[in-house]
Amino acid sequence: MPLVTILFAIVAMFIVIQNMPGDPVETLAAEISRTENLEMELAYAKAKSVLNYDPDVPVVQRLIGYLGGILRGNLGDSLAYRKPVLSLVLGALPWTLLVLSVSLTLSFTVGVVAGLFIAWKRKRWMNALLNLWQSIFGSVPDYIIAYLLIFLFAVTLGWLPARGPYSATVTPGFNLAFIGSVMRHAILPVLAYFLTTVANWTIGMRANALGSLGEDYVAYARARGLSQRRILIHYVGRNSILPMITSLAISFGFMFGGSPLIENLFLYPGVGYYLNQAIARRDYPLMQGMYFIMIVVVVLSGVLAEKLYTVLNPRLRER
Amino acid sequence: MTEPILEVKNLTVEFKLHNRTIRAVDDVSLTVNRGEIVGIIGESGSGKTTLVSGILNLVQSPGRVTSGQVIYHPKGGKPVDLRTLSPEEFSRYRWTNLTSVFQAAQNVLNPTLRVKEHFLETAWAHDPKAKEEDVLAKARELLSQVRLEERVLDCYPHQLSGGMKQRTIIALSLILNPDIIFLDEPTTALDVITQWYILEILKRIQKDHGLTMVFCTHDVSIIGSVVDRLGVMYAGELIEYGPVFSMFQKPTHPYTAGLMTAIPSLRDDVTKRKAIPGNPPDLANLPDACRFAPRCFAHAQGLCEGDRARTRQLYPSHPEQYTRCYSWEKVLKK
Amino acid sequence: MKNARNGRFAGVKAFFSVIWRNPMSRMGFLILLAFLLMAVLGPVVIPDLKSDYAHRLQPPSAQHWLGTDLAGKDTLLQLILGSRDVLLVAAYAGLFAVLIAAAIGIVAGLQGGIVDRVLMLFTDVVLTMPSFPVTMILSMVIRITDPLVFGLVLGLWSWAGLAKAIRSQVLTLKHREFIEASRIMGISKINIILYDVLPNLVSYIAVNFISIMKGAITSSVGLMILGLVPFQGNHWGVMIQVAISQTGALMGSASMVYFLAPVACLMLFQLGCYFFASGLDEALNPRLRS
Repeated sequence: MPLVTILFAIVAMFIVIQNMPGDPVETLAAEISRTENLEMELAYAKAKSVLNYDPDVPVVQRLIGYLGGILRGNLGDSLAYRKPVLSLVLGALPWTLLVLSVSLTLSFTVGVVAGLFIAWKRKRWMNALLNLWQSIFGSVPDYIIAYLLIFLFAVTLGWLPARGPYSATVTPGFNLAFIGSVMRHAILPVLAYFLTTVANWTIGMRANALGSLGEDYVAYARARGLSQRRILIHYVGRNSILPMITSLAISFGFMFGGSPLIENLFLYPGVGYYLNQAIARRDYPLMQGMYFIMIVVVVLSGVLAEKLYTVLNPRLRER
Repeated sequence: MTEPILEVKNLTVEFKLHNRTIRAVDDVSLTVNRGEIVGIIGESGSGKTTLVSGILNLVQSPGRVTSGQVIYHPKGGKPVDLRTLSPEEFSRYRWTNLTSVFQAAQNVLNPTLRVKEHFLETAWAHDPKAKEEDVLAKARELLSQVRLEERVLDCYPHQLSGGMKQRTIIALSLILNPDIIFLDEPTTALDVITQWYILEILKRIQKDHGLTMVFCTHDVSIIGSVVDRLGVMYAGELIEYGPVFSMFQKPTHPYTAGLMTAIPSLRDDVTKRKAIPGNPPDLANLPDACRFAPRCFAHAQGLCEGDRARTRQLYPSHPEQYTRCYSWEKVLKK
Repeated sequence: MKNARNGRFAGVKAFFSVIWRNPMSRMGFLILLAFLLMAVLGPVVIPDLKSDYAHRLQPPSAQHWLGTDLAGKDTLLQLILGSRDVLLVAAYAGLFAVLIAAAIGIVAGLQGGIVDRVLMLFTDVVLTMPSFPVTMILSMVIRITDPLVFGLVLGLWSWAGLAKAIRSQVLTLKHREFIEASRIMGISKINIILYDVLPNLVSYIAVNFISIMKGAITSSVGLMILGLVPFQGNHWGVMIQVAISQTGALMGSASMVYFLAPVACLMLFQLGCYFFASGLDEALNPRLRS
């Protein structure tokens, strides 16, 4: 099933991209012949090999060629960056994964704890505050929030950097300065994601926890004299968190989908950023490559979440 | 020697709903003696479950215990009014002295914890230093008393049948050697054979451990095989109370009489059975008369006016038997 | 039997009274209604905006309540005029998404069998693919020139979740008596769809229509900010994009107004959608009322 999705996605994208207006080979050929002073025919042949793309070959054959290339680890070469797509993909992926996993972990953890707390305390003002937060941060797109954050923290207050994954002055490597710089630069993007998603988790957890609190096993636990803490964590908490695990994967996929905008704003060299660049520059191989990796990660996270759910849910474990 | 283990005095539990106050338990007093088995019967909504919740301080909002005393006499200790205790103080008595067994149909076990973890957490809630091995050894012993195999300890609740779950929570109720067990419909929602099986187990446990048991049920036929003394509840009031056989043979309240007539038995001619006419009372709209008056044959025949004031107390009828019906002699004495 | 079929519009009427009774959905409804009026009447009432370079990037004043933009056009008027495009795009997106979702959901639910399996496989694949990147790529392929096409592109990837939900609703309805009755009476499938199934889905679809609209607007503004949509006009997204890229709204308070104004408008509209949809959801699903 996951493989089918990936396959279908690649095929669909391939077909769409191949049908885009403008012939990339011609464009590149024109440029090559101009810059390298080659005749059009030679330039055209060179363009074809660079792009790994021959418009004369039927689509199906091209598709099979592309798929075969993937299996061999060859995703073609980027037109704009003149580098193998695979290297660009592998270079961009860690950045996106960093920001997304930190954001998701933070958002989920805070949301779950807050949701449990709010459900337990049942204070009107807490629920009202939560609803207010959700109304505001759910209505403003995350990229706008990101923009406002940049304006506030980077431009006005100057506390945090606005662009880039790390400061230009540090050398990449396993040193403290680098890691510190990476973390500093990640704060605003993570904050943007966090602010817009934390309310969703809180509301979801609150709903589950409220349901759980009314269940008989909670009453029986109280009858046995179990402590509030034990009941809250092991009775309400455990039973409420389970349904939310599957949402994690969906959320991850969703955040991946929004990454082009946020990464673009922060000039953060992740998958979304390169996808955006590729589209803007009509760099088809890069487009396909970035899209491919996006699909793979999303599908994999779905599989992972399902596995996690199976492991955590006692009813499914015994299979 | 009968010494009391629990004295309930004038217990009232009220529910506030939509600006109306409903008295699910209205001024109930009864005494349970050490070592006996007391049964409380009544229709759904008569207040028997709420009575037990009230005694155990487990009433959930919007309900509240508004008055009364619940005096517990620990063995060789000073009597204590449980209602005066704070929740923390009360929880010390939970499970170590007073336990409860709920309906198996209910979802009382945590779906995410194994059975053994239920035993362990209960033990540790009261004695954090208890050794895991000791607790589990005791658990195995109790499980064998309820005819369950050791492997049940490693199971999750969804892997157990209804009957197995019921036996598990019976075993679980004994883990801290309690004095008195409250059982709420422990056999309802089980098939008849399992019902009988569990009752046999309960009888044996009671004898082996010298426990006091309070049984709540609406199934009258079961009561007859287990219980020493019986209490009948109607519309939140205790309307009759006494030794079970005497109540069966010589009921002194029209409702009790009606119940006894309504029970079918294997030997009986079913056509002789008569249901009690009318519907259970609406606790929000009670008549200003004897609570049973609308369904009472005596009241219908004009033999009794159903005066509310006179039903506010219990009257002794037969030895050890009390009734709320002030006209019982006129109406029921044979 | 007859009563069952007569009751088919009762659902629709009840739907409108439900909106009104729930305070949250009522507020959302009013907000959306206000925007609708603004969109419909605005361009009629307001004359063409004139560029006035002498007065560009002015802060809010008595003459221009929200200041002016890069070309000296009044910001507030731009917002009002822009609302028409915003609503059109969102509405088209919602419409297309709902149509596709309903078609697939109903057919899959009613037909069952292999048709159902294939359709659901297709839906699952679409659901897994992250919608925004797909829409980005699609916006390159399909030249977006007017709100209709824009809406179509946005709607193309928004129907999957709704389709699944509609299908499960249909599955539960399928076995309800009045559909069995219709089938026994020999009424054609299309008739069943139109008169028995749809009225019961109306409220559900309405809630989702609004949610899809909300998502479409976010995506559309996003696409415009990335510069992937050559959309002219006073669409708020265009205003935002211009504010970010050209006026450098990061500096200067006047430009900030030009950025914040469409953002505030956007937020208000989204709030309206959110209130309407969740108020309605709450009203239709009693268990959510705490």
